[in-house]
Amino acid sequence: MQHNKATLAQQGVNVLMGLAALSWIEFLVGVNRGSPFLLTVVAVIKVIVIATYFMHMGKLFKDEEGAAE
Amino acid sequence: MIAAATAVRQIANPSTSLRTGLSYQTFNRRMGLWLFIFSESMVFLALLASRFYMQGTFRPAEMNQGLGLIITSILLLSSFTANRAEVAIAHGDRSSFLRLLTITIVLGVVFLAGVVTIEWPETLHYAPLSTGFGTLFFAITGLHAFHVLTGVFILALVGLHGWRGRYTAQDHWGAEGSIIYWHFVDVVWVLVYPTLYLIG
Repeated sequence: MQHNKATLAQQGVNVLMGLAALSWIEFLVGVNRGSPFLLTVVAVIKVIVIATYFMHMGKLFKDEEGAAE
Repeated sequence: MIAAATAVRQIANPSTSLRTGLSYQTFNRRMGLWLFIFSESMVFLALLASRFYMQGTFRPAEMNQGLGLIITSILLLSSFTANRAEVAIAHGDRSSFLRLLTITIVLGVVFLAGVVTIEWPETLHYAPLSTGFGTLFFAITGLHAFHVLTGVFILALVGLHGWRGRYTAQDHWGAEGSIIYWHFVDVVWVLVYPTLYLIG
């Protein structure tokens, strides 16, 4: 259980780092008046990452209460 | 599609839950929350689409993109701490849960303060409500701010319940559902930020 908790903690950190990197990329694209298509793609990737890892969308109909476990 | 097919099958045949190991109560709770999130998403997607329909890719040159990045980072960080709080209560660690939930609430309040006290007064100067962009900007960020406010209120209630020992590792749907709602508020902002601050 503790190992599982540590693994989940590391996964959370990795997701946060990924989201931060994507936010920087979209900021740099935005200030340089880059492609709206690229900005849309980055935003959609961020949404998918949050929905998958933070909102547990993939586990919706799988396990019992406690999708974060 | 798979999730939708599973949901339809489960509604048509309640005994399906026995095979998947998912209780009917858990299924109903999750289904109710996700239907709510889906309907809310439609409202925000309609508003975001209207921004492009009415203004194209026009954006005032004075938009404070740096401030936008800062408040985006604050909200992303709050999603991280909310996720950590959920993991903590799922493992029965109540003190970490309360600490992380408090940090999440504080970050939500900081986000709200940044939008309402800095961003809105700034934007009023170059995109007043009488302009097309101003109308859309304040409608979208206003509706989102209201969701952040309700999210903060809900998380505070969850914190109160948690402090009273309401949640356990086995039974913490109140915390889990509220935190998923908080992530939804974050997801909406992830789409609002490029739509209003970056594209154009």
